Formats: sequence, C-alpha cells, structure tokens
Amino acid sequence: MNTKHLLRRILSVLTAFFLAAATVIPMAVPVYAQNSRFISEVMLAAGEAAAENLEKDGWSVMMTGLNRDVSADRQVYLAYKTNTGDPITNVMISNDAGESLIDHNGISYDRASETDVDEGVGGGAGCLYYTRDKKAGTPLVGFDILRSKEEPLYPITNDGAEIVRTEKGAPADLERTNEKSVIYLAEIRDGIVRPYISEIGIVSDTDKWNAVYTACERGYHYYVDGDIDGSDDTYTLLVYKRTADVNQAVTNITAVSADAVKEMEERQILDEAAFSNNLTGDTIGISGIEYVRVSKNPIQAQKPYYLYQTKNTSAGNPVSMLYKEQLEEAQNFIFGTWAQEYFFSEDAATNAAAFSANEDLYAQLCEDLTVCTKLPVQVLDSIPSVKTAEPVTEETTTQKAEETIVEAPTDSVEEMDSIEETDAVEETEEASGEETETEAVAEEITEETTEETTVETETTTEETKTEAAAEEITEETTEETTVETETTTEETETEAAAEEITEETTEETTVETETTTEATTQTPAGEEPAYINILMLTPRDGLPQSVAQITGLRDHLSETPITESDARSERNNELYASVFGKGGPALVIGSIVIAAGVVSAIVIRKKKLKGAK
Amino acid sequence: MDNLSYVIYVCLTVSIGLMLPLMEKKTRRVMVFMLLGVSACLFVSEINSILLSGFGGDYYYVTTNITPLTEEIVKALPILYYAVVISDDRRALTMNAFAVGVGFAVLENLVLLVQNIDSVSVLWALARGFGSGLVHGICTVAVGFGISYIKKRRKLFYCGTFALLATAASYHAVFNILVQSKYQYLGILLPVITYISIILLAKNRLKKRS
Repeated sequence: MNTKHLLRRILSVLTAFFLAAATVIPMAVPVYAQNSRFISEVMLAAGEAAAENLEKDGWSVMMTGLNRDVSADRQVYLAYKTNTGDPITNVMISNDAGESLIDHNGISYDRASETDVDEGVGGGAGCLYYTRDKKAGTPLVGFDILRSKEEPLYPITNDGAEIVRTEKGAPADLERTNEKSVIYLAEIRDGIVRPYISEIGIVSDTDKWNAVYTACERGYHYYVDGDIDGSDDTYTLLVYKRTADVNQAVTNITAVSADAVKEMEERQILDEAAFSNNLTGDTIGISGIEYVRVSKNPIQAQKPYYLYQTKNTSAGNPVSMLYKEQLEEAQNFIFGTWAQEYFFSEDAATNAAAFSANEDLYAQLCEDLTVCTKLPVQVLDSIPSVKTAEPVTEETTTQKAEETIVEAPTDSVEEMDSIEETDAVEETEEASGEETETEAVAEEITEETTEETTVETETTTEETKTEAAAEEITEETTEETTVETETTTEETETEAAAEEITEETTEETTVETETTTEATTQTPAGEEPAYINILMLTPRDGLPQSVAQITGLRDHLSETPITESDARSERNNELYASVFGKGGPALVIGSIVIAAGVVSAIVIRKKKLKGAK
Repeated sequence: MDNLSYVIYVCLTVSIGLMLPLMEKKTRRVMVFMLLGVSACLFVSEINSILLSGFGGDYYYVTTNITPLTEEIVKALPILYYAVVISDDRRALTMNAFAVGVGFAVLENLVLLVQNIDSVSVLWALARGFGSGLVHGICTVAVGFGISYIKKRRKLFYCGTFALLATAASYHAVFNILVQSKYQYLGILLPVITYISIILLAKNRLKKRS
C-alpha cells in the first residue's frame, strides 16, 4: 500500500468520523425545554414606532399591547430578548420611581424601562422591574396578557403561569387607574407540573370574569368552568390550586346540606372517633375522617350546601381534576380515550379551557393509559358520625353483602405466647338479596387484655351494612376496633359498635372508609341520594412517576416564548411516530446478538481474507 | 397483563418461524430478514424508551431527532452483516432490506395498535400501513441498495455507509415531523410518492435492460 493510498484511507475515515460526531454530539448534549429558551432582557416600548425600532434592534415584541382601547401610537408593548445573558427569574410592577427596588422577600429588582405599563391611558400604574436572582424562581420563558371580558379566555395558562405582582405581593393591575378595566400580565415558567389539587375554593361575583379575576387574585390558578350556584344574580365558580406534592393533595370532596351543618352546629356533636373532639361546621368528621369546609357561605342550589375537602389519604386517591358534569355513579376509564374526547376536542375546548393548558400532563396520562375514576360529589343530608360509648343497639339493615371479610386478630398483653387471634371470614349472601346482617362478635374474658379488632368489609352491591361488635367482659381492657369498608356501590353504611360491660374500660374505635364511588352517607330510606354536578377525577393507582419529568407546556421549538395555541397542534401525535418499549429482555438479548454478529463478521472476514491470500 | 410487545413478537415469530423449513431458499431468506426486522423493532423499542427517559420525556424531540437514527441504525445492521459476510448482490440486498423494513413496520404497527386500541380506526390503519409501513421499507431499501454500491467501492465504505444511514434517518425524521404536525396528510403522502417513484424507476430500468 503506497502513502497516497494510505492517506486517502485515513482521510475517508476521518471524514466519516467527523460527520458522525457532528450528528451525534448535538444529540448527546440535548437542549432541554427548561433551558433552551429563556427571557434574558425585557423592555417596554410606548407606541408602535418605538416597538418597530426595538424589533430592528433584535427585540421580540409581543403582538398584544398592555393597554386597552388605545391607538397603536399610544399603545405600550412588552419587548424581550431570549438567551442573550443570564435569565430573568421574575418581574414585577411598581410605581417606585427608583432605578432599583427590593421586594418584600428581600430580592433586588432593576427597572426595565422608564415607561409606565399604562402609559397609553395616562400612566401611573408603575414601571416594569425585573430580577435575575435565582431565589425568585426558575427562568421565565414567556409572558401572557390577561384581559377581561371580550378577550379570548386565557385567564390562567398552565401550572407554570403566575400573575405578575407588585412589590407588596398583590396582583398588579396594569390599568390600575382605569376602574373599568382589569389587565394582568402573566409570567410563565417552564418545567412546572403540579398534578394534584391542593386546595379548592369558592368565588362568587355578579360577573363571571370578575369571579375569575378574584380567583386569580387569591392565588387560585384553575377554575371549573360553569356556574355552580343556582341563583341568577351571582356567578359562583369552583376554583382550585394545584401542587406537585402528593401529600398536600385533596383526596376527597363532599357536599353537606346547609341544614345538616346548621343542625350539627347547634348540637355540637361530640365525636370521639374522629380526629376532632369538638366538631363545628368548619370541620366535620365523616367516617372518622376530618373534612374542612371550603367556604363560609353555602352554595345556593335547590338545597343549599357547603363543600368540604379532606387531604386524608384514607379518603381516597389524590384528586387530579375537577369538572362540571352530572354523574351519579363512579366510572372507571382509561385516561387516554377520555382525555382525547373531552379535553382536546373542539367542542370541549371552552368547557375545559382551564385544563387544556396542561396538555403535557394529559398527554403523559394518555400515553401511560392511566386508569382513572370519575367520582361524583354527593350531597349529604346528615353528618354520619360514629356512635361510641353507647350500648349496641339492634338496628335493622337493608343491605346485601356479596363479600364480607371480618378479621379479628387479638393480642393479649400478658399471654404473648398464646396470642388469641380470631379470623372470621364470613361470606354472606341471602337469597332474598335484600337484607344482610353481618355481625362479628369477639368475646374475650381475660385480665389486662388489649384487643384489636379489624373488620374489613367489601361490598359490591347496593346497600350494605356491617356491624362489627366486640364485646369484652373484662377488667382493665382496651379495645380498638378498626372498620375498613370498601364499596363500589351507591350506598354504604358502616357502623362499628363496640360494647363493653366492664369496669375501667377504654374503647377506641376507628372507622376508615375507602370508597371508589362516593362518600359514606346516610340517606333516608326511599330517597335517592343527591349529587351536585361536580366530578372529581382521580388516578386509580396514583399518577405515574414520569409525570414529574414532564417539561411543561412549551417546547423549545416554539418560535416565541409566548404561549400560542398553534403550538398544541404541532404536538398532535395521532399517528404515533415511534414505538416505545416497557422494559424487557429484548435490550439485553439484542445487544448480545449484535455483539455476536460483529464478532462473527470479523472472524469470517478474516478467514475470507486469509483464504483469498 | 404481560408486556404486549413481547406477546405480539412471540406470536409473529413463532408462527412464521415454523413455516421457514417448508419454504424455498430465496423465500426463506426474505422471511428470515423479515423476522430480523421484527426483532429489530422490539430491540429498538427498548432503546427508544431509555432514550425517551434520558431526554426528559420530551416525546416530540425524541421522535423527531433521536428515534429515526436509532431505528435506521438497528435496521441496517442485518443488511450490513449480509453485505459484509455473505453477499453484496444488489437484488438480494434490496429484497432483504425491504423485508427488514416491512418486518419492523409490522411489529411497530401492531404494538401501537394494541397500545391505542380505543382510538384506532380503519383510516388510522391505512395511514399507518401506507405511511409508516412504507417509510421503514423505503429507508431500509435505500440503505441496502446503497450498500450494494459502496461495498464494491471500498474507499467509500465507511463514509458511504454513514451517508446512507444519515439519508435514511433524515427521511424518517421528516416523516415523523410531518405526521406529528397539522400537515399529517403530507407525512402519509411522502412515502407513497417515493414508493411510486421507485417502482416506476425500477420498471423503466427493467424495460431498458430487456
């Protein structure tokens, strides 16, 4: 082989390597949405000419002006640059005249320009200030202008959107001086996904949009579109906040009729089984779970009611969404199908405007085919409470139990070696199908005995009533009774009664009820349970872990950081571009096969070359 | 439920594999390459899922920038092996390459079908069949056809192979971008038009030869 030949060969190898590296390296160092585009400079321009000049200087100018009803030559435009320096992490509006200021959190802000945000309508609302301090948050990737009434509905864009505030922390109305108009500026951060509802609230106003803006002011980022109030003169919105922390998630919502709350407040029911000893209307105990009232005033309906929420994990799975729809029974569904039909169809776009912005989250849920449960919120006419420290009374039941499991493990403190465990499995199914009574009675006559009784009842029929009574004739006895009831039916009633005919006896009863349908309730015989037209959506097995990795609404390919509806259609993937595995041996086996193939190819080639020589 | 990709894979490969001994040599070779394409799809799906998580779950980015490359590389491996070790006959390579691509597309379509069973339709099947099915076939044919040339010109082998893979990956990526955009129909038309052009060219060449 001569030198020329060798050089050519080396050159061809080097060229191939260079081309391969040029393709692979950018892929190995991906540009993530979080850090691909961020706002690094902001500026306000008064008048269209000034905005055009800024554009010539390389600024991007928002199409929508900050002021309403002003001509283009007086309009104030927000201009920004991306990736020209350190990211801006927060902006605020202040009428402090200084070049810089320090907000209530001690973060220093610099003035973006001397132009007032409401220059077009006379000025006075203040200037735009910005900070690059990392303590203020993650980099901003976009802005949105929220206008009332005529403007398209975009009050709250996504989990990463927040209304720009003043240095005191109040939402900044860009046209503070104009009483007729409310304009907010929203700043958008990327990579923020809050899959769970952390707090719900009620906002009422005579006007829908005023109610929406009140919700914004109070820090609620989402609302359920539609008036949940029956009265004509007010518009009542159910609003909520979201969180990424599953421990802060609301797990159940229930409605209690105003009459029942009033009655309870009067009686001041003492419920020893609940967490709260002295229950009032603000906090109630349902099946041993503490519920907190959402609003002070009842929601007006045919039968006025209060909404209560709980974060107790025993009450159910974390609630991910709320929406307005009448439904009287729980429905399980694969999220993908439902979400596509409801959230992203043209018809449902307005109904679910507040949700649709979280497209990535829903896309992920769709992709994972997460099984979710729609739970109707039922109105309770009375507060079901656990009656304790009372003698067991015989109560007739009208329930049918397909499966009842009663477990009564008993531990004796003194006789540890001879632990008395009672497991009673009872499956009761009466031919009449209407009435079932299950009683598990564990009697123990021991001295200084601690007894724990667990009664688990699972029913799949219409009405179930399980009574687990534990009687102990003993001295210095402690008894704990836990009743767990899981139902997939419309009506369940669980009563756990513990009776002791004893001296110096302590009894603790805990009743935990997990339902996949609705809250435990007591409805008078012959009366249909009432539901409000609010549904909770809860993933059956919790949200997938990968949700946390979702990068947010926007992707780095967007031309502008400002949220645009077009970006969504670009992400439409009905035809599914590639196939993704779920973990399996193919990777290992395939790698081994490829390695074996490469080795065998080399060996065979060598043999061939040798043969040729 | 078991991993359905594997269930489908077993169903496909076992039934076709049992048929292999009864086939003629040429047909058998094509079917073997088809099975290799099916296997390549399963292998690539696992790689893709790892890459997806590695790239922060950005589905769009991964399917338009990463998966075309991985898929084309893995699909090309059996063709490269055949060309290097067994034969660089152009007809055989082209036929084998198309078989790999079709095998790949078959498993991919089936997996997507069962994963999205609630939302699929006949139109979806047509789009997948003509779109994705042809794209995989065409891309692999391009690689196979090209290898038959560059194999005979050894100086071109490395950079030529890279160029072929780059071309196939780019074409595939364009398809993936189009089918995820609002111009989905263009995504489906792209491989159909390419396929018709290839068929017409091949027929013309055959005519000239005869």
